[in-house]
Amino acid sequence: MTDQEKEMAASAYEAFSAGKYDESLKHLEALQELNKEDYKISMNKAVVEFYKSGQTTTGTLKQTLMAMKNQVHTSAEDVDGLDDVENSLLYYNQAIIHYHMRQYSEAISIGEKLYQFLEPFEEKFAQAVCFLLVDLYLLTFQPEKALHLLAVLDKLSVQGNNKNGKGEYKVRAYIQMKSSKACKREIKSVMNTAGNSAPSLFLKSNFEYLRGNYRKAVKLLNSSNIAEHPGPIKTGECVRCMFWNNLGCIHFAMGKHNLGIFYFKKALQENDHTCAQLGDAKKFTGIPMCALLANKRYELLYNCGIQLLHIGRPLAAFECLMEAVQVYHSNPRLWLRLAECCISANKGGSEQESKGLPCKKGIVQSIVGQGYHRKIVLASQSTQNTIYSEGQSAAIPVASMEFAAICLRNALLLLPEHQQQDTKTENGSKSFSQSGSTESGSENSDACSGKGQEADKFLSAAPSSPLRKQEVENLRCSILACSAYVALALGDNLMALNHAEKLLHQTKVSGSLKFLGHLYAAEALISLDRISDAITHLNPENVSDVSMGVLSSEQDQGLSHVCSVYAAGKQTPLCYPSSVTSARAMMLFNLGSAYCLRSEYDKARKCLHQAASMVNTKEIPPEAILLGVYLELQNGNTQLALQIIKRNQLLPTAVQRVSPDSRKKPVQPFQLPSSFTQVQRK
Amino acid sequence: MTLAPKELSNLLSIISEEACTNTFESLSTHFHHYFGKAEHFRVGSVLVMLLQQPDLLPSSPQRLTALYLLWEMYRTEPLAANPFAAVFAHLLNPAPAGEEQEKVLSGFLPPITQPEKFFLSQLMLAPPRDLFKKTPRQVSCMDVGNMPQSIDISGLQLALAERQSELPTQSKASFPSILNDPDPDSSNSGFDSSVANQIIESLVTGPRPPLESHFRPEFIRPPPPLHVCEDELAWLNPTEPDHSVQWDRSMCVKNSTGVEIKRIMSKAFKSPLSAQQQSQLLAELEKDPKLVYHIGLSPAKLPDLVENNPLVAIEMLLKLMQSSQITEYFSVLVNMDMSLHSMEVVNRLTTAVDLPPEFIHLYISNCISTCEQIKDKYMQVGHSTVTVPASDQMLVPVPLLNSDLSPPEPPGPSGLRLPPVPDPKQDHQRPGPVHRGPGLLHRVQPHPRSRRPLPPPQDPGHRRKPHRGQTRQIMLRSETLHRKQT
Repeated sequence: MTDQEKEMAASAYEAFSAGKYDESLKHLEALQELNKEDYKISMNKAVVEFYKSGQTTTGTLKQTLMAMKNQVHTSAEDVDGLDDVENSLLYYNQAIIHYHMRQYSEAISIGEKLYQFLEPFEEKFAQAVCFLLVDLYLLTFQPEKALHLLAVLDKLSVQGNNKNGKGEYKVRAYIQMKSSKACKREIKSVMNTAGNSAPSLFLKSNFEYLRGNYRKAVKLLNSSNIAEHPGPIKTGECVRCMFWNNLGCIHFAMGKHNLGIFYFKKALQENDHTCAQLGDAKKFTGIPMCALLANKRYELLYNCGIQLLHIGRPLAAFECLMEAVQVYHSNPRLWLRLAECCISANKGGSEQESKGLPCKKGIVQSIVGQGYHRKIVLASQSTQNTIYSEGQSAAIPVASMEFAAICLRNALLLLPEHQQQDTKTENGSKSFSQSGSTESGSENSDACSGKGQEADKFLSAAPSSPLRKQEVENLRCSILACSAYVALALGDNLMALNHAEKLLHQTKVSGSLKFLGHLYAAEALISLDRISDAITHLNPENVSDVSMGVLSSEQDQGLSHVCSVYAAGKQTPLCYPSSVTSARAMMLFNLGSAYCLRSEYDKARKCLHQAASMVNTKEIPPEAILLGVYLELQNGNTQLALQIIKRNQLLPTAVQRVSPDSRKKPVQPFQLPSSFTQVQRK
Repeated sequence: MTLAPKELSNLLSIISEEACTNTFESLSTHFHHYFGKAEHFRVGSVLVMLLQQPDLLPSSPQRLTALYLLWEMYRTEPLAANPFAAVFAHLLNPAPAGEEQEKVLSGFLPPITQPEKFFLSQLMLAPPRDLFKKTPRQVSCMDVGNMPQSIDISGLQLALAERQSELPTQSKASFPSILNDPDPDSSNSGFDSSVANQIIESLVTGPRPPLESHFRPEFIRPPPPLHVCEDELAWLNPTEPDHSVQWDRSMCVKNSTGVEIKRIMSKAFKSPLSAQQQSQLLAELEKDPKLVYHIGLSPAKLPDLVENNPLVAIEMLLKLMQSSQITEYFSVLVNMDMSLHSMEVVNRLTTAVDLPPEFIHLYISNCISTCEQIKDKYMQVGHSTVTVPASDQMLVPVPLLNSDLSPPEPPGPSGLRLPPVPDPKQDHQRPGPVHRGPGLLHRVQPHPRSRRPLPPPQDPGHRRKPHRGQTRQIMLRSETLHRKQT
């Protein structure tokens, strides 16, 4: 290397730093004349040209760097060796491009390789590598790895050359981990140093939102001056869109679903507007590289979908979530939500959108003929319940029960294997990587996290914060319940029984899901002709609680510990069905049906009447009325059966008055377990 | 769809009032003209439904036709195999519960007339040929007063019961879901077959016709509630990230020395360097502590360097102590083939820095097993002479070794100077880093995040004289050596 070359290199850099790209290019070209071997001259040339274009030629730069990398590693033996220190900037630049193209796992794998030989790097570059990795870890929801790196950064920058924003990174990590205390401490210092910036105000708002202080959260959002934000083209972030989105989140949590959907739609509009400004981002050209990250469409669609599902518009929700799942396909909860859309769209009932299926479960399907020839065709609930979408492949995403089954299978596969309390780490780490999280080589990432086992407590659920162990178990219960329900609807009784039994064997299953587990198991057993086994599931004493939640375990310390989003919202029904009594009534109705099948009509009749007296007459389900009809027909009382049918249609309060035996012969007092009669008295 | 409208009208023409003047035989011919075997069951289902609905099939001759066809379709098979045999059994043997009840059960089969019963009984037995030469109308008018009224169908009933027992309970519990509900206010103003046919059509044609549905106790199946969870939505925070493509400042820098040093290094992996090359290399390393990271010494290449240029290897390893990859180098070092050079390198390392204890343990046990395997006595002694001081320095209280085994020559080809023997009682039983005497460095700590579990020390084959603790192994080895020597 001659002194002349060194001089040229220096002046090329000088020109580049001063923004005189043409001049820098001239120097580099001259340098290339002298030295044809050093690929770094070409790389710097590519970098200068990239800057000269206003950082808009991302695609081209990516190609150039890729070609250089292949050239450097023609003999691939050294790919992982220390030799790569020589080429660290090539790798770094590649990682930067992957990051902006949202190829996070590629970026992370490069970043982690660079991190392995951090020591020889000059400090500034080492920091840049670390910050890139921290950002990537937070984007892929690996907060513990991010925190570990931030600690490393603390050590690296003892000299006081602190880059701002380390506090903000920490807050984001703590928020993802839902660790309230650490978050509070950190946010205080952030507010002290950068209290008025949009990032810190948004973070504080996020924190208050998670603690259930919704008014405060709104206020903080409002105080950020989003009108003065430079905009997505410059910063790569559309703060207005984020603002509307977060308002949507807050109103969703407050149970104000209509406002929620309003704000999410506004955010989507804002995002569309941004995208229109940016043009076709897929070409990776024509817009500044940073703006490639501005599009938040998938996060917004995800939020919108969840909100629509809760507002009772499952088909619209399905559309949104189907699009979101293309990106977040490793989120088990999202797959469950998709299945819930299908279930909700197919259950009939008050659903306005439910594509032309029998809109209300009645007891009469149709009336044929009139006068002398008049005939009543009774509705079969099971044909209403069993929905096959004929002639369609289940792999084509329509909101069918078949598709729900696929979604639920995906969801279950994404969950870690069920862990026993005592075997923790090994199982955990295995399942964590199985979960298809964005991690690349797990060895590398372990090396970086320093406490890889800790990370196993979390299950990735992008685009929301990762799930903690208890949340995973709750999710598993919900998935199993839905799986059993869907299998029943598809006539797959063995699978239904399997899922229901698994559900009942979970250690922490909510009262409400336990109730459903028994019901589903019983129905599957009936269809499998195991009536006696079904009857044991239908013991009303199996239900003692129909709450939706599971008591959170003591070890779960987090933001949610302080305040549950849902508890504060008070909108989601916390019980399902509405009370223990109505749950038990439902069990008794089904028990009556089971007895009927065994030709034990007296027992069936008693169950029916007992159950009917426990619930409001309006709540008596059609299945129960049909059971009454069945019993009368079985008894030969066709006229009485017809009366039940007609009165029910005319008067919803029919069953009690019609209940034929109350007139004919007095009912024998029904022997019930003592605790059960207590409930009845209530 | 049970029947297509066309099929249905064909069927209805066969069982129409007008057709009842044909003989059973010709009705049968007509029937088989219209319907193949594959349609029989569906047609039969419709016929049973008509038998269940007296308002749709009011006349006796029509019922006779229907019964005949039900029988005729399956006449080549045993009677019990006829899927509609239960209908025959039911009609011939009304439930014992009493006539009154039977009447109200309109969803079930209403009773039939005596001539119909007679005709059906004839079908159950071997029917005389000339019976089918008659027309339904003729049969319906027969005076059956003096004919035998009841036949024994217990065999059929038994076969049916057996077949039914194989059915699931749920299927057995099903009723037809079509209920007769004649409007009491409307008088039966005479049978109009076109009206009836229309009704029949709406019951049996179209997608999912009422005929196909059945009525049985149904389970209430509430759908599961929406999953309840916290913090599900994606909150968006502006982060103002600042990552950009960077200029490579290592362009045209350092390379003049770099190229030369790299050339020397690549030679160093293959053969011993000249004294001049060696000193040039070491001088450059001294000048730039980070150079070591740039000259291509990956862990995989370390053994080559150790074998060819142990002194360079030592210097480089000392420079690499701060690297996060140092344990990789150690791991390679401990697993490479034993040689005097590798032992020398390890020995020098131990004098300079604190090595992880497990590394030393593993290394010594490797040395010992290597010594054992060497046949050549001279070599063995040579090895042991290095092993002994090395192990002595690193781990083992070895006064015994030193006294028993006197090396024939000064140890080591490169003039290794043995450090003083530390206090024998020192430290081996205790966990944690080995304490060193004064003047030794204390720099190296195993890097916690990349430490690999080292394999357990190899178990030496025979132990003749068990001793206490960790020293035992080494002592045994020395005795073996001694014995072999003498």
